[in-house]
Amino acid sequence: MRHQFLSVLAAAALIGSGTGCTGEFTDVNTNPNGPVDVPPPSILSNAIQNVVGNVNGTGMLNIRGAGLWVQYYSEIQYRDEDKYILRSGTSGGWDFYRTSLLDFQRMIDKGVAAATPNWEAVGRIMKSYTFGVMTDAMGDIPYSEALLGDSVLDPAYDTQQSIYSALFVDLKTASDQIDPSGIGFASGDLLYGGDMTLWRKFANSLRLRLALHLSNVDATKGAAEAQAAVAAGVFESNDDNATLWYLAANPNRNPVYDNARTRDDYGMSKTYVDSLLSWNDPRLPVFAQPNKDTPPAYRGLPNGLNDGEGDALSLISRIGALWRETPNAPISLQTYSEVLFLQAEAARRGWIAGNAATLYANAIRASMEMYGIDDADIDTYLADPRVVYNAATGLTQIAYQKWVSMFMQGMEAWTEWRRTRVPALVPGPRAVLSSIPDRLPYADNELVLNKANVDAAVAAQGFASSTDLSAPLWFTGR
Amino acid sequence: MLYSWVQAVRRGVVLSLLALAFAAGSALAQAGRIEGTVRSATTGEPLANARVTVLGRNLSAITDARGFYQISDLPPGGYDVRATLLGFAPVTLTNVRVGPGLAATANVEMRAAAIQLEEVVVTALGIEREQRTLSFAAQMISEDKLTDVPKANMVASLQGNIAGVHVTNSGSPFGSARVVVRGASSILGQNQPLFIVDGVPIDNSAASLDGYGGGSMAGYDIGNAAGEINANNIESMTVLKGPNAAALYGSRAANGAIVITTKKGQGAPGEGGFGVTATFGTTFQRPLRLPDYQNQYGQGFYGEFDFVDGNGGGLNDFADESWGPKLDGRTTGCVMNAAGTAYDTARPCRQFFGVGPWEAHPDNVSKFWETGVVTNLNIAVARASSRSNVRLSVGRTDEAGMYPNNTNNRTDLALAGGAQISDRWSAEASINYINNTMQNQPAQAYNDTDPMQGFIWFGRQVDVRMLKDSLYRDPDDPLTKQILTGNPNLRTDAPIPYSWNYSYHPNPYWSAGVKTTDYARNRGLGHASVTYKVSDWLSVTGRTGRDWYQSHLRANYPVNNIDPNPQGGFTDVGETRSETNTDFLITANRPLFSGLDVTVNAGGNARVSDIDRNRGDVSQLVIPGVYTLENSAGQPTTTLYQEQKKVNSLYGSASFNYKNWFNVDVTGRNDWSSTLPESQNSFFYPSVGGAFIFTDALGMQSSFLSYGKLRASWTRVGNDTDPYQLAAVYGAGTPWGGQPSFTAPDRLPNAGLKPEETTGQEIGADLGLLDSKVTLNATLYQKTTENQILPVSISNATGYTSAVVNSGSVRNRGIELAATITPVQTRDFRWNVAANWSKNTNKVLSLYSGVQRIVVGTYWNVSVTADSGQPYGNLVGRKWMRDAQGRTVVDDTGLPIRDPAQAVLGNYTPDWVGGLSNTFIYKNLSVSLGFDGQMGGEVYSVTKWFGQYSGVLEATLLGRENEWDDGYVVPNSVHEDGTPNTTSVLAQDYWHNTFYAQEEGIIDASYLKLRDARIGFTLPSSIAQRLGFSEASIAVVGRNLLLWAKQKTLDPETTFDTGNRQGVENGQLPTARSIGFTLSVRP
Repeated sequence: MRHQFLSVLAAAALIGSGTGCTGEFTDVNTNPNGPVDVPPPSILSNAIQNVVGNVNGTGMLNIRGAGLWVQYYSEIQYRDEDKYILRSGTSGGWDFYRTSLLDFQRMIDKGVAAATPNWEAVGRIMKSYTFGVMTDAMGDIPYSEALLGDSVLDPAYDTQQSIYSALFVDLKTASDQIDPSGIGFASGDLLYGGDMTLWRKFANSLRLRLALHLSNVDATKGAAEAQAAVAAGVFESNDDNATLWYLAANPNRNPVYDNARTRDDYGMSKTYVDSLLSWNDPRLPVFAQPNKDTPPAYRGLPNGLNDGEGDALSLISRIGALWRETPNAPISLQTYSEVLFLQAEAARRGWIAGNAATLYANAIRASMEMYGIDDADIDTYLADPRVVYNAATGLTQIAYQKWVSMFMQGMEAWTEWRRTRVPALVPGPRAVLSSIPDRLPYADNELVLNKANVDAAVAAQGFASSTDLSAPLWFTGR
Repeated sequence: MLYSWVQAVRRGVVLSLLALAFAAGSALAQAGRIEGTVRSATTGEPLANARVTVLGRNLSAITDARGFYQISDLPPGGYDVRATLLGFAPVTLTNVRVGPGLAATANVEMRAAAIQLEEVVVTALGIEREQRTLSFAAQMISEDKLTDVPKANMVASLQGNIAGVHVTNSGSPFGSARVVVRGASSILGQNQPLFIVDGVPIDNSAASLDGYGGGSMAGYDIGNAAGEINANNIESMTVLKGPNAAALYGSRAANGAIVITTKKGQGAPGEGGFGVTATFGTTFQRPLRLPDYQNQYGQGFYGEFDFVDGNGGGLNDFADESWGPKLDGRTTGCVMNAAGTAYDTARPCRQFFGVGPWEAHPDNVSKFWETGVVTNLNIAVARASSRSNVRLSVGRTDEAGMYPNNTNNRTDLALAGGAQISDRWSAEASINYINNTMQNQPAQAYNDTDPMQGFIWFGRQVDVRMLKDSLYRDPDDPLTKQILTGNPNLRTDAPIPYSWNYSYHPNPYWSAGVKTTDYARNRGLGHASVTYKVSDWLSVTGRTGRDWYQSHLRANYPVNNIDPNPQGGFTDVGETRSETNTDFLITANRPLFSGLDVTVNAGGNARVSDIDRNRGDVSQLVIPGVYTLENSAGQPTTTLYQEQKKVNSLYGSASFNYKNWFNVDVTGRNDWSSTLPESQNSFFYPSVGGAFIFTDALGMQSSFLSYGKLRASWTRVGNDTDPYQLAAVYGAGTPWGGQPSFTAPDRLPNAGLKPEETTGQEIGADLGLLDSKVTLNATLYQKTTENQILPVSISNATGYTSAVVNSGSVRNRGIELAATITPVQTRDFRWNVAANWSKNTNKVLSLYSGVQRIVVGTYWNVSVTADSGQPYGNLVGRKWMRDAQGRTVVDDTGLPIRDPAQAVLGNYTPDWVGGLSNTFIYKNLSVSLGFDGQMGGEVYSVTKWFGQYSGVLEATLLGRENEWDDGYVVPNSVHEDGTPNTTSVLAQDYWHNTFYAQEEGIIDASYLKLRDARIGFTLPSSIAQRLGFSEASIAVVGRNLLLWAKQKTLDPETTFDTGNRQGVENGQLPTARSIGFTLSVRP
């Protein structure tokens, strides 16, 4: 009896023996579902895919917004953005902070910690590219206090001017610190396959782009940065393009192709198609598909109509098969053609040495070569008196030809349109704003999560609200 | 599956116990027995189902239909015998003498008592207590409420039957029932109570979809896990409503606990016999309510429609909206002439099937739904001797659902037994195996195979029977060739589906029949416990229990599906969850001095929970129809996930009872959780409560006030969190050509988390009036949950979306009223009324420094939020702009302008919920009717919002009463400059514009339902015996028979999972109205 009693107590004690002992728990709570730390090459490819797909894919920075507004495309169903009505949650790339910029910042930090300057440089270049897009889309944004995790939960907004200055510094640093023979990227570099020389050219080409953006507001700084960029070496051929060549298989197909598999929301804009038709542009069959009329023709839909207005869907040209029907089509962040246009403009402005006419013609040629246009067709086009460079109207010609050639890079086309206002575009008949949008909204939840700072930025820039689409940004000089 | 049972078997207890249970027989010579009859003291009727227990021994019996019971194998001696029965006051007969080999007769007369006043309830840790000693509200649900009307989800039985409990049912077959007790207190965590079966916590996770278009189970509501416990196996179910009642269960019971005791073999006929009960039921289902569609206008835009390829090839033939020509039976003239002045009657009306009359098909949605058939069969065999008992039951439910091609089955096998091994040792064990299969269940929540999502866009002229007749197009049909030309995405190496639209919508029959899904859940749960009685007043119990299940979902997307995976593909998810609890309990009970009894319990528990999940997704097939990972074009996406959590606990309670009219309880518990930092992972929580029966104490019993009790209690309960909140890991990025990639985490971890804390107070009174023909229970409560562990959203500019913090406080206050009335009671006729009513007031007291709103979830531009200073569960979206006088502001074209600011459009929490049941018993006939409902609360209906946009709902006839272009002037509207508006807008433009203001989708969620109805007839025993049964009864049953709601578009009782993002209707599946019969026999 007594013996039994003791055995029961012992059994109870055995069951309870784990109770209260705390050490074992440390292991239980170690997350087995992911690595605590990773080397930079393994975070680069995801972040690059994010940036390319969201800047020049089907989102607000290209087909659904920026590129729609420079009237490359039109919405053929659910035509809200084409009337400048934005769905809630829309922003000018705010998501990049968490989807890509934190990864680029970690590459920089890891590059510093591991004394591997090439990691650091690529982090800086991609971070600068992304911040450049975001400030061009939204205006002042958090930069110096951004990406600091729990040490700054409510980052202040930096002015666009100060962000530009910081980007110039970062791109110079990156270009300078690249060591083509140093440790680089055996994998993960989807743009250049680890070729650090090309990364250096991209850094300088990007610096040149940002320099020209300042033409209306700070020509002195623009000129200085442009000179330095060209001197440090920019793109020299289409082989240098910052291009992501998508793959044929899921999940790495190009986003335009993927979108067109299940949706049919976008067609060509009448503005763009008519323009290319009237200039006999040989790139039109690349950029657009013929409609299903008999006989088939290239026909765009006017921008800014109500659902059901205008041509039947079958009469509207869709985006070219190169993207829409080709899963492994390329999408670029910056091309040789653009760099030549930038140099032509810089030369025309007297910022750099060079022959604006030659650079301009070469820019058009480079664009056409990118799309495999025959030399004869290129020559014919270049011989058109409207195309031939004329110094008096050079800036307008450069801007117009750049608009034509930047198809599928809607974000940069929109930025350049806001700077140059070339060509003269007008909103569609059902548009709810009297002018083409000049910016994209800040993220909605900033009004809840970082209110004081976003309110201050809105006030400082004279916006009506954080979702004001009509206020010109600083760089436009308007 | 096998493995876990091997483990259970290794513990050695189960098999040996069952062997014991069968073997234990007529071992003891010279044993005597006690037998007798239990009758009603007022009517003299024999009482069936009363339990008679020999106190101090683990022996009991249940009376049969004649009120007879027998308890054998009793050594000679004197025994105290106690009889209990729901609805009657317990009676104890003392010192019943049993001689050697003799039968002692102990007849018992029981007096009807207030239900819930005197009954014995199972409280925390499985401790049985008399209701009169409790200091908190605990309400028991009677067995008949569980099984009288069959339900696929056991949890649904709680609805309307327990004050303070709010249940929301999903329309999905075998779908979820969300239960919340006393309001939601956790901002982002679990708000459902803990489910305990035979003392062992079981899993009730919301393993369903995680909202729109995704989630762990790809959009299918596969039901909350606790719902599949077979109600026929439940002996009692008690709801411990607040943290007070549940303090001993610890953190997970902060939202209350539902304590289930399953049937054992006790009460089966005595030695040598088997008791068998069998029930059978069949019910037929039809949709309770479908949206109110218009039948005046067909597919198209601006009055025109012409089908060529259904994808933009013809005029508006891609349109999945009903703004087309008037449905007047015309065969020509569905498009305008070239001048746009009149319909061109030279051109025929072309539709998806060819040329045909342009006419309405008003029942094209209701005809799609078939008559569902559900059959239930349960058979239970039980045997008991004086020293052992065993029960085996088999249950089977087969459902051929209302959705075509949908079948659901559940098989349930339960084996339970107990044995008095010696005078001091006793043991019990149970094993329950449950298998659920759901084939081709419709998806929910606007997911791709959600049929109701498709019907929001279904052309009103579409004849659904044509779609039923043809799933595929004839490849030689010229129209097929046209369709292929218009749809370069269609693959010609697979058959071309036949549909009414090729832009967005598959044929719903094709979705149901070809786009198959297959879900299965295999579950094993069981426990074993051993009790050693050290002395008359001290015993020790050791127990272990495990709940284990494996879910598997396969959804196949055939080639030429429209979305997702038009090139074919599939999703395959396998998930294993388990929870193992091992505990011990020491119980001591002895009088301290005259009149004062003390009961002390002390125990400990070790819990381990595991989750393992694997998932594979293929988004393009090489060979159509072959659903394997190897047949994937490109790399399939595969993921694995694991999670483990451990909690250890020690706890104790002391109960002081003075003269059975004053009771004080004190409890304490300490938990150690693996999810908290080592320095802060230990947390203690106490409770204290008292119950005072003033009628007994003050000797003031009268026939008017037969019973009166006051009670009060206070408690504080701690809570831990989910695993892995203390440190972050890199997430998986999109791989590139098969090369993996990583990305920095989105959530900032918090290495310094503290436990959450819930404080609860409640006071209450229980009264029995008019000889307890009327009973009243009233409770006032308050519970506040503070220091909540939540991921709060932070500015994305930090690089993160959220940070885990200890913050936020939510308070619930409320009142619960329960009453039972027996207005009439004669020898032949009895009328019982039970009513429950509760009102809960919720307030989010604070969130996090600087944070005014936490978004719980967002669907179609409406967020479900917790807003500081407001009730939990706000529905936030956009409204129309209105001027100071409340007039709608319109733009130059006459269309309302949306207010740029977000506004609270409603709140999903009802103002009050209630239930009322009436039971009439006349001789062998009984009739019962159960109503329940809620007042107040709102639902954001995507069906209404989009159904107006798409022109399919009756409301959209506004502005096209006679012709599509009648026009409509927004009433009481002004322009922005304040001038009155007189501009007429087209109906299509007006309703399209409502897309921008979600206030158009808000509906009042108040409703009243005739939830259950039953007409039962017990065959007179003479007839039953002639048929070969000792007992037989038959009943006609109905469920969800009638619905009253303030709007007619949908059933406002709507949910698609059991999470906190409620109040959003998102293509809800129709609730089934079912009518059928049940049959119950004992051979």
